Amino acid sequence: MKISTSRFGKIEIIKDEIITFEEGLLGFGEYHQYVILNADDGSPFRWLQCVDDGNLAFVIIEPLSFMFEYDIEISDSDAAFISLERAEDAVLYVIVSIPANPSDMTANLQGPLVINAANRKGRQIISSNSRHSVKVRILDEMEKRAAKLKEVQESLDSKPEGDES
Amino acid sequence: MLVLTRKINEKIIIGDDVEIVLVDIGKDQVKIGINAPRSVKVHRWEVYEEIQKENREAAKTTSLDPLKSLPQDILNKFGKKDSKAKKL
Repeated sequence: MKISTSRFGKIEIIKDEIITFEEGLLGFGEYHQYVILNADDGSPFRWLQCVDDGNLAFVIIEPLSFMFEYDIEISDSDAAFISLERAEDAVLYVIVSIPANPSDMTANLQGPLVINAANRKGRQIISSNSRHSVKVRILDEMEKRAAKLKEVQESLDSKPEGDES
Repeated sequence: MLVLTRKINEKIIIGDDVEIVLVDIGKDQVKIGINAPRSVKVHRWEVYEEIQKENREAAKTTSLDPLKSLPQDILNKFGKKDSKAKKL
């Protein structure tokens, strides 16, 4: 089917790829159907394009493409809401805000999107982790991740040779 | 709006299974205990409001073009797409 969007003009979407957010996103409760559009090749950013209203779209990203770790507890009620039965079916995205200066772009870690890949039902959940705020600078997290990765690499490198344990 | 007056340790019941107890009263704040089934979402109202506000803010992003002005070495540091998302 074809939809008209403000950002991408007329686009063709596949019905089976529609993701249903039964209660909508917070503040956008009246919109339920979305599709995920890939950005440029290799870019970790994607668009969550609303099908019900072509003017509405969000930039989304998988948290692990800029963070070292992102621990989130999916509550029983959240899992039940999207009929999530297996943890491996859960696909996690966070919503990104890109201001005029892109270095200041932030991700909303407190209100991530959980999508059940098995049935394409999604919900914006609320993280109970107090370190997850709604505005976390993505570039800061990337720096932290780079430092962590370096640490891990160095600890691997410092192991004596031939030690298989 | 229903307004009830309660003393410390007195309770309110909402529906059949949500119990609210007034735990403590301070000078300008009260401590409230909530007993509810796991299926009932309980959050501070501000959290809801903050996420709503952030969603509205994020919806104003109309293009990824500003990202092109970021130095290439930063862009290279983004991780590869998680294979999980390919399921969608």
